[in-house]
Amino acid sequence: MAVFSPAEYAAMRQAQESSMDHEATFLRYDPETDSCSGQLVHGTAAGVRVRCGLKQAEREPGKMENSDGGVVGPYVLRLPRWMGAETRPMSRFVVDRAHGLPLARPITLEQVGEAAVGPSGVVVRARSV
Amino acid sequence: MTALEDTLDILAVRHEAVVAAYELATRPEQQEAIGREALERLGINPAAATLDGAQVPSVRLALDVSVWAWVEMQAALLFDFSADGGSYKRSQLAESAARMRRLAEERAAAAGLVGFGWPAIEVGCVRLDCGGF
Repeated sequence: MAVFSPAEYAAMRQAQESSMDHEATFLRYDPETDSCSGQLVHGTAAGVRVRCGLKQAEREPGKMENSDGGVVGPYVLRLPRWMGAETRPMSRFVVDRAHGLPLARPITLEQVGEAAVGPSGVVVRARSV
Repeated sequence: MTALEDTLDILAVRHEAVVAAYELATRPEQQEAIGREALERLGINPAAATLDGAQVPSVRLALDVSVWAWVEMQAALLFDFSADGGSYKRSQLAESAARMRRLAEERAAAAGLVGFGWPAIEVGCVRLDCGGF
């Protein structure tokens, strides 16, 4: 027996997607078909535009350092459900708009691990690169 | 023009935000249901000739009640949920619509429209709405 009706799932997806106030260019990591892969040509490749919700992961401390001393910012991205089939570890998201306005400094994120596909959307963990 | 068409014109202007939020411009049957309810509460035939000037203030008040009651019904089945990294309190819409509907009913009752007031509160045998008589 379904917990929710299809109409209720649709309403949940609508609620989720209506609060995605960032926009990003999605560059799928695809080394099988593209030898230089999506992530290496992220500056020039034509990617898929996607609306998303972005927030910094809640953890203490709020940032980490990698072995080179660079700062790594962990993020959580909420994506529309159709992105469940598209996401893949090491794919990149270039977040360049928020609340309808362009960001002064776009944030480039790299997906970490598999995406969690839920009833109302897709959750992806990412790190700034 | 009919009374119903006049009422829908008032609806489009007076409740622009509700019309936009629920895309009522593309749902004429819902608009008509709201307009008919408002007119019927005032005893005006929706198919009657255009509203006269004396009816318009009452129609505005009755329409407010009908619109917010309709929004309240739309929001009644929305539940709060947290899923997939987001948390949504959709019951706020139902609370807000109920508050607006009560306010509209109070305004309509204060303007002397019949059938919009809350039932008289009775304590023991003393009615509180009749000045003690």
